[in-house]
Amino acid sequence: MTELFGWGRFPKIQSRELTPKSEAELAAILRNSKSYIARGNGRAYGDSAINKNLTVTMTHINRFLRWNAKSGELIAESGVLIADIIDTFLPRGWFPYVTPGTKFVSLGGAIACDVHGKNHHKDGSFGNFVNWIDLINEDNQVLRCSRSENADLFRWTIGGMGLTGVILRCSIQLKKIESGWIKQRSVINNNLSESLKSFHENKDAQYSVAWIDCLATGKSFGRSILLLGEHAKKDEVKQKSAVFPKVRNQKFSLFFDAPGFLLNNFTVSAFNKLYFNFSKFMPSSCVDWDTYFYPLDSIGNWNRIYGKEGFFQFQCVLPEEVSLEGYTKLFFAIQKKSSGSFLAVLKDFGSGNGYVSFPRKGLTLALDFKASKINIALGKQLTDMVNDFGGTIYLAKDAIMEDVQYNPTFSKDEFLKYRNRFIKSEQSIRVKL
Amino acid sequence: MSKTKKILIVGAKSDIALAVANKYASEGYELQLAARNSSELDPVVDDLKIRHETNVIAYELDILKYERFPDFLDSLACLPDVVLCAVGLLGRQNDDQQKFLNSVLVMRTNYEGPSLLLGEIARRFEMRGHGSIIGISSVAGDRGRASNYIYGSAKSGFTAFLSGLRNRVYKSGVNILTVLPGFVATKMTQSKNLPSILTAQPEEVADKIFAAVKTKKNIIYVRPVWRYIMLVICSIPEFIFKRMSF
Repeated sequence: MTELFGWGRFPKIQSRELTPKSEAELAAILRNSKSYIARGNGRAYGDSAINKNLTVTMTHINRFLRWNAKSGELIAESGVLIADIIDTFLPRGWFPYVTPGTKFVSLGGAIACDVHGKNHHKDGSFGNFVNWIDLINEDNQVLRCSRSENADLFRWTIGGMGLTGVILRCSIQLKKIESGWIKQRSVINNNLSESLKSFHENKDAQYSVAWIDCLATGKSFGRSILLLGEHAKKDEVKQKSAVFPKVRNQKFSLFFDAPGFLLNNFTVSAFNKLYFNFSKFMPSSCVDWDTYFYPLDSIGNWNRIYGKEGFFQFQCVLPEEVSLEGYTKLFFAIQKKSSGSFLAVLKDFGSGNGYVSFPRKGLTLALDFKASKINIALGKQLTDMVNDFGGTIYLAKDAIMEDVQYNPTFSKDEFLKYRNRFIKSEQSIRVKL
Repeated sequence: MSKTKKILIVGAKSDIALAVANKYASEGYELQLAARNSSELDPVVDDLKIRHETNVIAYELDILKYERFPDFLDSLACLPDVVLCAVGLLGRQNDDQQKFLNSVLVMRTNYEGPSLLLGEIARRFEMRGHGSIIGISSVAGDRGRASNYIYGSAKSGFTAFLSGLRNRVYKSGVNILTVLPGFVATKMTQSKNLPSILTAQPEEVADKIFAAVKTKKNIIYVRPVWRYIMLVICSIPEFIFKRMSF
């Protein structure tokens, strides 16, 4: 038995974990089990990829199978990490179309959660660039699905939290880029309505994401910095720099849990104030891909900053028309009860893939909470509010939602037709999915 | 013939071998991979080719078929610059000590096969005047213990063989590296619960090997702490040692 947990280090669950090294080993494991979940690199925050009875970690099934240097199509096993892909293909001028805020997610995880990035408003989510998926079904057979073959199964699998079958391999499309640099500029928004408006005004930007200060009050309520990015062309890269810079070295790593008292409303709001005032003077600049897309990846185990209890991330999406009212209420609730949320991020979504997939038209907010009793109660309260506004919670982040709070927009009965009955996660059991 | 340097990796399906293949390929080497069942190497070959855009060729070689070693070496597209032998069979001590033939297999796989192969390669390197040979041995060979002395004794023999070979070919410019990995998180040790501070990742082993070959080291413990652990274990007097169980 191993203690397994997600990136939030909460909850921690004693589980049986197996790590097959080959397809044959994987098949043998699955044949003998009636309740399991596949796990990628463990970057879902909560218990999405944990099953007490059996968690099958796929990180050693991680080979590149075929690469088409002309078209940019990559066929790979599901344990391959986005970091491997960048490492291999960025020097040749290719980059993932969609990447989440960490490069340490597996392809299987990226598909199962239909992850999104800073370009969702333009390009949509990860699933849009998946050509096909090979899934292991209930009968332990490998089934290929795509938009033209087993199309329904394909759509339920994109964002389906790994519940339709074990994702074994897939074909994805990479994007041709001229350099590994991003031209970045920032827009300061002094309050919530400015913050929301600035997404509209910058819809043409390739990448956009806002860092938002949830703790600011009065006339600064909902202030934010919108960070915009474009791929730099080859001739825009500074002369002395490499066109495709290498990954940064890890700056430092947290080997132990930080003391729990480190983050409270006072320290976090002081940090926010400093960051906000400092950013006002930040000129537009050219930054390397690693710094731009993965600012936290260079700090090993940053998830230990929240102390021994761990943390959870709350991420919701609200329909556009209720954004102002909805987020005003959410922020008020957060300011009243929470103890310090370090990082709050606001992002506009374009239209989504439907089915179980999370991203959909509207604005999404993500913020971390230390997993204290008060915060868990607050998280549940926020979830109720999101439901009232017709919004949705992101399962890849969730660790606390109760079954009555989970109101999916898809038909659960329809999902059951495509769901693999042997696959269960602690989360799917918890929210009765 | 291309001037790119080449490494031959024997026992190429092992986790350490794969990590070494990735390391050397990323440093610009072409790869010659050998395993008992070369068709099983196909996916590995594809993966390495895609990752490193380098030449990778798979060969079939059974480490127990000694008589075929010369033919195998003749069949290589060219004699490599570096050779790694990562063949190893841990066996199961409790079963093996009861079954004569199991012991034979462990001894031949860990000692006879690798030694004879590397000996023949060393002879060819010596004639050519350069080359590096890497043998993966084991700290288990430093002192025989009840829990794994069949494996340990074979590795001990292998270590001694490498030591003698190094001594012999030193003047001809051929370098021999003995690697004592300690615990490594691999298929071979998967079922064992290893303490993380003593356990290296295969990639760590590969990095250490690459650096050690470059600087012409003779013997390396992948995690230096193992040198001291084995120093202590080896200094226990036999009359006490024989009563201990570990």
